[in-house]
Amino acid sequence: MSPMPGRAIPGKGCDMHIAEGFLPPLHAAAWTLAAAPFVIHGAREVRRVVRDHPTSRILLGAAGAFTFVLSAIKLPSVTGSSSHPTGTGVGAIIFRPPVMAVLGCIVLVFQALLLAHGGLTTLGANTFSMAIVGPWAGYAAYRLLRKAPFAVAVFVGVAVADLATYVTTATQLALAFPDPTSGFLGAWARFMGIFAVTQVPLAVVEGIVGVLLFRALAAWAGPELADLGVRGFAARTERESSEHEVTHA
Amino acid sequence: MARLAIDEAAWTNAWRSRSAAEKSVLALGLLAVAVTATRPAIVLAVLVVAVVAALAGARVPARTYLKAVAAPALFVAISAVSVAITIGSGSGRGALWSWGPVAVTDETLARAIEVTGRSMAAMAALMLLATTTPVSDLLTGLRRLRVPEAIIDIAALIYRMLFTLLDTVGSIREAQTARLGYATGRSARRSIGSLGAAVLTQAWSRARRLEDGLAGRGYTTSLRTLAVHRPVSVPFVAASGALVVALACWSVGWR
Repeated sequence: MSPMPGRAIPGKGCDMHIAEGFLPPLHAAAWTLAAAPFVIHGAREVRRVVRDHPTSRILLGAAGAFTFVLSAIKLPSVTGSSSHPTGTGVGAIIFRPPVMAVLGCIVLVFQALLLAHGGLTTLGANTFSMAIVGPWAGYAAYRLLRKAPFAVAVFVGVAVADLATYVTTATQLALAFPDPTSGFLGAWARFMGIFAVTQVPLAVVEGIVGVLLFRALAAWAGPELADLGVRGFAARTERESSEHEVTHA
Repeated sequence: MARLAIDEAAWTNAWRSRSAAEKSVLALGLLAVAVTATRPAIVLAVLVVAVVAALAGARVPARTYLKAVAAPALFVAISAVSVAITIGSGSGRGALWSWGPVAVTDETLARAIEVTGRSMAAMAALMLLATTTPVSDLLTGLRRLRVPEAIIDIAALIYRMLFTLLDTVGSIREAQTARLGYATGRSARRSIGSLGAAVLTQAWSRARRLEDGLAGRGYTTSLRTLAVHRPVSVPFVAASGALVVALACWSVGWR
């Protein structure tokens, strides 16, 4: 815990950004090509939104700044790990995956330039795992659970976004560095094992934090979430508040 | 005001008044050479050039520099260890070290060293750009390269809002800590949850106020500011270009 506010916020510790130069050039180029369509699609979406509502740039800027700041908040994690992808799961639920692909990519550039987390050659690979696979997987899980209680859907959504990001990163590393004897699968199992120590407990903690975050948001910003169309949000909070009134009456 | 060490260096270093184009030619050129290097000597040369340029050329404080690379270095270390070990039947032949099914061989160790070296050199090249060039200069450069206006605008807004939000996080966190918000795991999780929600609502309300204020001043399209005109220094670009090309030629094996 940092007693000095402001100074040492951005996390030190194990994070899942593939460091600059870590991937062989061909892999770095291939992941950039793989991530490009999603980012371009998201950028078109953003341009369309911005053309129709010019002031929405400011809201999108705020969303991006929030994603950056959220990923830099130190978590009281079991293993003391700190820089983390919570933002992707929460962001995907609030802002939808296509927009997250663009915001996530910009935030990753900022993390590379301002925190030295990740890098420019590994931007494609990191965008693919953190801004594309994580948000889509988390959002899919969240949507599949729309019949379940909201808290359960959020917990699973955020945790799945985290786990999907970590599995993707392990896969990217295993493809780049297959084991000389046991090949891709051996390397994959090894990377999964090494990162599981920090990432699995982290996913659980982040899921819980995500639920608590949405609970606080429901109390403070229900109408804003309803405006953004976070599904069933307004209706649910209304029902919850009416239940409160009943019990208090 | 919240500060990020790298950002602070970018605004105060000795190369601050150089144009972003000059520094990009040098740093991105070195980055390209680092990731495609075929021989350890080249990787080492890039590492030395990039570190010397940042610390001696741009006079970035060494402390800032070391602190900034500590976190990614940990990722490199953990992953490199994972690359160095092999698990399986082949551990018998040529193993430098083995323990049960786990072994380190010449081949895996060489690969781990190669990837660590490449990563460190590439990181030094990236740091050369990051510690000498403020993000707003880079965004101005990207605008000239025809990156969509809307994207640049959003990135500029993120950069503008980021520091006030980091401040918000700092003060909320301090208040929560003073109220024993992080005394137990349970309360810490609750505190983090409400911290995240508070930051988002703050970001929203700031954005709305900014929007209202700008609307009153006739804001309809993009939030452009006048870029300071910085002439590109031909000798600097020529020297950086020559250095990068020389390293690249050495890397491909030309004489």
